[in-house]
This record gives sequence, C-alpha cells and structure tokens, in this order.
Amino acid sequence: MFTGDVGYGKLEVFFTPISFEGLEPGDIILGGYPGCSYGRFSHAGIYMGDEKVIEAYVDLGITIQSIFHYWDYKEICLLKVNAEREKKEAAVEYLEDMIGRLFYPTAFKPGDRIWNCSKIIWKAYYQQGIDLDDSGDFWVSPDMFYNTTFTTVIREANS
Amino acid sequence: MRSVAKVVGYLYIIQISAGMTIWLSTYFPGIDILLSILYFLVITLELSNNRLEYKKWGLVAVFWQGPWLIVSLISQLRPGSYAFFLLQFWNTPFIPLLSCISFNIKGTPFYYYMLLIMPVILGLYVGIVYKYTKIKSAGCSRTENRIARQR
Repeated sequence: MFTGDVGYGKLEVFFTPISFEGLEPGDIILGGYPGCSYGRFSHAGIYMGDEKVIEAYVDLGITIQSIFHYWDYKEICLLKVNAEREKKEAAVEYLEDMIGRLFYPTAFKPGDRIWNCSKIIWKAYYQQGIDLDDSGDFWVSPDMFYNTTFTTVIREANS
Repeated sequence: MRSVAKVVGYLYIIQISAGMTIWLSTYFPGIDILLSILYFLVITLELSNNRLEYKKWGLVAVFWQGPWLIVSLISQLRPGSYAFFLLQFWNTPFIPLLSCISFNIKGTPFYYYMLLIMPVILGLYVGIVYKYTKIKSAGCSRTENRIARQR
C-alpha cells in the first residue's frame, strides 16, 4: 500500500524557515519530507492562534504543539481556508475538545474515535458544512487540502 | 498434544487476520468494537484449547509477545522511528477498544502507554488462561476419578 516513507519515520531535520505571518485561526499548515508515500506532504496541522497548532501524532494522539516545529520539514505550505471567520474558529473549537484522542495512520473518514492528522482537519470543517476533500476518497491525506478549491496558498517554502 | 510452534503459529495467523479485518471494519464504527471483543474471545479459546505443559505455556508467551516487547523497547530507545508505528499496526485488533478511552497522563495519551505495555499484558494473559485452564482441567479429572470409583 505504501511505497515510500510514512509519517514521522524521518529522523532528519531540514531547516526551512518560513514566516507564519498572515495565518488566522483555522488556517492549515502542511509539512513534507522527501519520498513520502502518500503525496507531496506528509503532515498537516490547523493553526489555533498564539503560534500554536492542533495536530495529531502516533505517540501524542490529537495534541497542541508549537508552530515552529514545521521548520523541521523540507517543504512547508501555509494554506488559507476560504471560509467565514466564525466557521474557522468553530473548527478550531471542535478540535480543542478532541485532545488526547487516538491516532491511527490509516484512519477512515467515518467515526469519531480513530484519527490521523488530516482527518481531524477534514472533520472539523465537515462539521461546519465545508468538505475539504474534493476527491470523495475513503480517507483524507494532507495533499487534499492543497488541491481543494476551499483553500488558497499563503506561502510556500522548500529547503 | 499440540506443539509450541503450532500454538504460536495459530496465534500469529489469528492476530494478522484479525488486524486486517478489524482495520477494515473501522470504516463501520461500532462493528469494529464487536470484532475486537470477538478477537479477544478467539485468542482466549485458542490458548485454552491446547494441552501444553507449564514450561511450554511460558514459551508460547515468549514467542508470541517477546518480539513485540523488543519493538516496544526500540520505540523508547529511538523515539520518532518506525518502531511505535509497527507496534500500533501489530496491535490493530485492540485499537477499537483503546479508542473508547481517551485521557492524557502527563501530556501523553492513555493508549500510548497501553500499546507500549501490551506485549507484557498479553504475555501475562497467557499465564492467566493457563492457570484457569489448569484449575478447570483439575476439576474435570476429580469428577472423572469420582465416576470411575463409583463404577
């Protein structure tokens, strides 16, 4: 199923400084390591303000982390979600209640017990009536947020 | 009498088949929990239906869960490696049950600790099933002896 690197499996740290200016709560940050098996980007997080991101990791579940660890990725992309501010804030609030939930790399779209980094963002917006997945696939990957018509690229960087 | 290799082989086949089935069933929330409970019953039956000696039960525990205990230790020695991913995939049959409990201990989710110690829990579970099976079979043989004496 996977032919390249999966998730966190990289111990390498690429220093890719990018300015996070212009991000609003509810916007999306994508990080990519070279050779990722499921697309250009291997990780996604949702900006919650105050330089913090809600994301999901295998060993931390759904968690709140500092935005600056995205500089470790080789590729970084900041995406603006084209939605009303209230909906974006509601998406963040939805996820704040999910902290500590279980991460499983190949989580399917249905259900609210098993998550991965992309599913949390997709579900948070789906609850607000916005479907960030144009493909209608069984699961969600970070690249879907890059390709959807609901987002616009704020800034991209590649080291 | 079954050999240790045969019992461990069956346990691996059950675990891999259950892992695939239960992962697919997570598409239908609720069914995955039922299948997870069923998996637990099946391994209990598989363990209790063999007539191994005491030492061989220990070997079953070691060969079934020992490699995963090593993976668990590697995940601690090399944080950020694939080891914890591997451990989570191996324990897929328990994922639906673990997903029902969500709270953090010192910033780390409960399921993380559970997956780390799962090889130990399952190893000890082999011992519990052995003890229960031994008591049960001892009870049976006492009854058989009484019937034989009455004849």
